[in-house]
Amino acid sequence: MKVTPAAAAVSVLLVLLTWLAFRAIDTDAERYDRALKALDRFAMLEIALHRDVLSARAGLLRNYDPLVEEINALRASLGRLRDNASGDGEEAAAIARFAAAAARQEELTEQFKSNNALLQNSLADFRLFSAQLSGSGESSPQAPAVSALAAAMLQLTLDTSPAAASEVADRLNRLAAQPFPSGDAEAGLALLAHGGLLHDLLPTTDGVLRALLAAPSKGELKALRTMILTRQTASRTTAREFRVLLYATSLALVGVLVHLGLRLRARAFALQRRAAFEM
Amino acid sequence: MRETHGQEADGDAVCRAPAGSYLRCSRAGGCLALLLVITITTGAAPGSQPLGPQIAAPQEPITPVPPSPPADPLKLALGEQLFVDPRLSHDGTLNCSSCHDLHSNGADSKRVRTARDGSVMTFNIPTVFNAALSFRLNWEGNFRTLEEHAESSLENPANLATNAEEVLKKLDADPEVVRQFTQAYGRPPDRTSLLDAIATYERSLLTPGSRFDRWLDGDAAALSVEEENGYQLFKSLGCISCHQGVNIGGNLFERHGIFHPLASPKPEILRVPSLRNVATTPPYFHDGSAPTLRTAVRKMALAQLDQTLSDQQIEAIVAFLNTLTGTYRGVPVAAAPP
Repeated sequence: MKVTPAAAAVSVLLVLLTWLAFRAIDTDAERYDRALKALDRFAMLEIALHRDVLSARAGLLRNYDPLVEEINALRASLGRLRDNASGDGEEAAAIARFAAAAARQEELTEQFKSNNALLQNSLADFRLFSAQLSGSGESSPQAPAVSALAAAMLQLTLDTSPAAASEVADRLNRLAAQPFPSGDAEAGLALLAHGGLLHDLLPTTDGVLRALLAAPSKGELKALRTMILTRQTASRTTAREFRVLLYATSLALVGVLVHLGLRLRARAFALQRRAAFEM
Repeated sequence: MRETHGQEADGDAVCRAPAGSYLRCSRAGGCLALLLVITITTGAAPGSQPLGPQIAAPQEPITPVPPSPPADPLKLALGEQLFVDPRLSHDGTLNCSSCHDLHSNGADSKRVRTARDGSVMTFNIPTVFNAALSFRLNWEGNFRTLEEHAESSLENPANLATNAEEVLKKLDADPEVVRQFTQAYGRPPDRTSLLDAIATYERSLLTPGSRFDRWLDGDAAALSVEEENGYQLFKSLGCISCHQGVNIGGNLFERHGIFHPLASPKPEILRVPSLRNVATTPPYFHDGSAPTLRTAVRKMALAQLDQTLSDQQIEAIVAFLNTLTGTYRGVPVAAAPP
């Protein structure tokens, strides 16, 4: 079968228009939107997590279930981000860096929970034993040392600087140097044990907290968001350019159609005139 | 104490208001303001004194066990059937319920079990009840999901000593099981549906309705004075620092033997066990070395708190722990027969 030039031109035009139409669609738009939504969700959860660890440290959040929920939700967001990834190397590497930062955050959160539980526990017992020893009689020779230790510990709960820790260590040493009366010996030893633990735990826990709040996931999140936004913008720009091309092609086609129509009309008139002349 | 399993919740629940168990505000400043208001209006620090359960319970660090989550009844039925199916072991002699007896406490009464090869297993068997409420599974917390744990139990040579492929071959040979899987999952049994059916069933193994949960829900008469005092002591001694949340533990890792040795020193760090149904799950600790709850409380106080409790204090705490026994299918959870 012989293909006429007109049929060939129509085929080429059809292919061209279809190609332009496909390229004019921003096919990755939904994927980028989903990725940005997952990142937004992650950022929101991270803020909630940070708020809750601070509340837990202050004793306002009294169980760790919210922290568990937040960590699980962060992992779920990360999973959505991974599922949504295009598979290209640069994006995969950025997500891997982000996931590593999130894993570090989870590790610090677990460390915080374990430390903070011990901390709250020892604070309760420290309060109990110091009250017991302070109240065992005003004549108790340890009462002033216990009160001084309690004051230093209170300061350490507010300020975990080396100076405050050193003050507590000093008070603990002074109290340990005094022999407790036999009735108070057990409580005294327990106070010293909890005091020693708090001396170590308070700065350590705040250190973990600081590391958690300064976790690099924010930087990785920002980098990943920037990369996705850049790609989204590029994808939109490309689609827009092809839409313009598609429009221009369509206009050209309309022009050609009008031109062909006019020629057809002119020929029809010519044929009519010729027919009228021959009749 | 005896361990329960755990499971990762795939949560978008973070912004939901938790079930009224703790102060939760958008900003720390807001919380502080609320705390001050509560302190001024009640004249006491929140949670420090029983204000009457209707007021105190919403601020408690423990929340009631929720009802079992909704699940496809076909998958649940399949999971329940698989739980007691001996085809889940290599030689057809064991199944999940061999270690996790659901007619009693979801575990067994042995200190530690003897493995198939005759060796003594490292850990005391944890109860499967409320496992889904913990954040990790096992004493070491080495599994995040019930599916992961189910597969590990299948493959563990000391336990079921098989694998999903072997189990699936056996199940494929049973037209009735294939029909049930096809009905529930739209396809014959495969690894994913096998593990999902078991995990779906295990997620339903919650034991709500304990007397303590009723107290948390506002039933002031659910606890006696001694039991309530035991709870206050449990909090004031610091036990609550680790044993809190819906599962009264099961949501963090902790070192054991902080001040004195507790039990076998290894592993040093354990997932804090749940105290739900604790009165029914002797023996206690990861090595099963504490035969009674009284012994466990005494040893825990000494090892973790450096506290030598009086008999009266131990009795009060045990009285509180006895109120944590919930119900499964309307029947109170009971200790396993010796």
